[in-house]
Amino acid sequence: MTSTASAAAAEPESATDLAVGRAFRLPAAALAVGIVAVAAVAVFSATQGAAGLPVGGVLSAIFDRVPMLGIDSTLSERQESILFEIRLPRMVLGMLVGGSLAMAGAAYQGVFRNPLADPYLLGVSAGAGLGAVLALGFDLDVGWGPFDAVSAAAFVGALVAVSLSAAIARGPGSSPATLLLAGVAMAALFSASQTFALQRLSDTRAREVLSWLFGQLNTSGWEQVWVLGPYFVVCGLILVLHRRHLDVMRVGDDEAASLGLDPARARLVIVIAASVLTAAAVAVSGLIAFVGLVVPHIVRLLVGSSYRAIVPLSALFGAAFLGFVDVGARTVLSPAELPVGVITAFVGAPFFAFILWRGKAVAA
Amino acid sequence: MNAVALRCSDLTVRFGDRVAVDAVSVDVAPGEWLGLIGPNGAGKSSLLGALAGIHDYEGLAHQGPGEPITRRDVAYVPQLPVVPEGMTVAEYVLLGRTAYLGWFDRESAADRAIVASVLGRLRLDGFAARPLTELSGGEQQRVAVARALVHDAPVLLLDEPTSALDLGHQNAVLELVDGLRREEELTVVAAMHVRSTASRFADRLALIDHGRLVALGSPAEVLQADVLSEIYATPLVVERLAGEIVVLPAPRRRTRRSPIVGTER
Repeated sequence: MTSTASAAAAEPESATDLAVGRAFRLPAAALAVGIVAVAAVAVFSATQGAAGLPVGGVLSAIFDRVPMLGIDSTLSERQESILFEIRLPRMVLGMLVGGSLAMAGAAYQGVFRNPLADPYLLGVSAGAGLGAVLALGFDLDVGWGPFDAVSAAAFVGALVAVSLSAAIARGPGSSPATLLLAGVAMAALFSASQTFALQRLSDTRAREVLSWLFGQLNTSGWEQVWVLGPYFVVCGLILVLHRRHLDVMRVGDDEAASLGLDPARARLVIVIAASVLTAAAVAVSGLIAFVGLVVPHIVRLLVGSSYRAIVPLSALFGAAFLGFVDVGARTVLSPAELPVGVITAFVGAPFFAFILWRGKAVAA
Repeated sequence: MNAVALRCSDLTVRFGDRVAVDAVSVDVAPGEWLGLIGPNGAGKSSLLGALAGIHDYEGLAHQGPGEPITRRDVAYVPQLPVVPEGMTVAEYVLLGRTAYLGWFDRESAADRAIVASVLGRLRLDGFAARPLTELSGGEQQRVAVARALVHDAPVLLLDEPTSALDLGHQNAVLELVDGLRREEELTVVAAMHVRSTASRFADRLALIDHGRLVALGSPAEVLQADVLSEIYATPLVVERLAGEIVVLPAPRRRTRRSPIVGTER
C-alpha cells in the first residue's frame, strides 16, 4: 500500500492533472505554426510582384537596417525603394487588417455566442459604406490628421452605426440577442441610405465607390499602417486581455453572473474594442469579406473551442491569410489589381463550405 | 442555535412591474438543507437567482457575520446547465474559480489543483479531458455540481437540479449533494419537487406561492394536504411511507360509467 501511495506522489501527472493543466491553454505548437505562417507569408509577399525580388536580397536589405548586425544589402537602390516604399507597407497593412478583422470576429462570436457573428455584424460595414459613399461621391471633406476624407468618413460612419445599434439595445452590455437584432436594423437602414446615395452618383464615381466597398489594400507608403497600427495594438491588447471572460461567457449571462463575472461589463468592453478595431480596419481597407468570419472558425478547428487560444491565434492566422491572399490580388491580373475582398470571398466561401460539408462542429 | 449561514430579510425581486419574490425573510443555519417548494412560477428560481447574483433584488441577503453576500459566499447549480460546444469537463469545472480571479487574472496552479482534487472526489477522473456534450444528462449534472464545489462557497444553491433526470439519476445527484453537505458542512438551499424528494433531504421546507413565503418549518409541519391542495390547485394527499412523507395527487374519483358502453374507446 505504501509503495503505491509513494508512487502516486512521485507521479503527479495523472490523466486528470494533464487535462486540468491543459484546460484553457494556448497550445505552444499552434502558436509556433501561426508565427511560422506569418513569417513565411511575409517573405513570400515581399519577393512576389511585378518586379521579382530575390529572397536573399530582401532579407539582407531588411537586416541591413537593423543596427549592429553588420549585414549589407545586396539589393539595388531601386529594388530597395520598391521593397521599403511599396511592398512592405502594403504587406504590413494587409497583415494588420487581416489580424484585426479575425480578432474582432473571434471576439464577436464569443460575445454573441453565435458562430455566424462577424466584425460587420453591428452595422459597421453599412455605416462605413455610407460614410465612404458620402465622402467619395459628394466630396465630403471630413479628413483629419493621417485620415483622408474617405477613411475618416468610413470610420465615423462605422462607429455611428455601432453606437446606434448599442443605443437601441440600451447599451453595448445588454443581452446578446437584443444587440444583434439592433445591429440588423441599423445595417438595413444604413445599407438603404447607401444605395440611395449611390443612385445619385455618376457612373465613374459609383465605380470608384464600389471598388472601395469591395476592399482594397492600395497603400501610399506607410501612412495607413501608422493609422491602423495604434488601434491594432491597443484594441488587440484589450481583446487578448479579455479572452478569459469570453470563455466564462460561453455558459450564458446567468451562469456567468453566478460564477462571479459581470457579463454586461465584459461585453461592453469587448464590443467597444472589437468595433473600434473593425472601424479602423475598414477605414484603411474598405470592406474585406469573410476574414473575420472564417479565420476564427479555422483556428477553432485547429485548437478547440477556448477563446484563450482562439483570440490570439486568430490575429496570427488572420494576418497570414490576408497577407497571402493579397499577393494574389496584386499578381493574378498584373498589372491590373483585383480587389482583395473579391479574393477573400472566392477563397473563403468554398473553404468554409468544405468545412461545413465535412460536418465538423462549427460552434462559438 | 443562533448561528446563521444565510439570512434573507424582506428580499424582493421585481421584473418590471411584476413582483416575483415578495419580501421573503428566512434564516438558514450552517449545515442546514432548506428546501424551497411551491408551484411553477411561485418565485423559487427567482429567489435563488437573486442569491446567486443573477437578478437584482431589494432588501438584504447576508451571510453569517452580517456582511452582504458576495459571489464567493454562494455557489449555484442551475436547473439546466448551459453546455458549451467543445468545452471539456476540466475547463468547465475550472470556471468555478472565476469568483477568485481579478479582472485580468489567470487561473493559478492552485486553482487547477483544486479542480483536479474535486474531479477525483466526485469520481469524474476519467471525464476530465472529455467534451461536455458527450456526457449524459446525469453526468453533466454531476459536473455542474463539481463546478459548484470548486467555487468553494459555504452555501450551495440548487435550482431543481434534477428535474431533467430520471428517478435513479435524480436520487444519485441529491445523495451526492447530501453527502458533500455532511462532509464539508455545506449549507444547501434547493428548489425541489414537492412530490418525491423534498422531505427526504431537506431539514426544513419553505413553501412559496406568488412570491410570498407561505409556510416555513419541518417537512411534517409544512406538508399539509389542505394547504398544498389549495396552493397547487389540485387535490393532494400526504402519506407516510417507510418513515418518509410523500405527497401524491388524490386518487381520482371514480365517475359512473357511461351507460352506452359501446362508445367508450
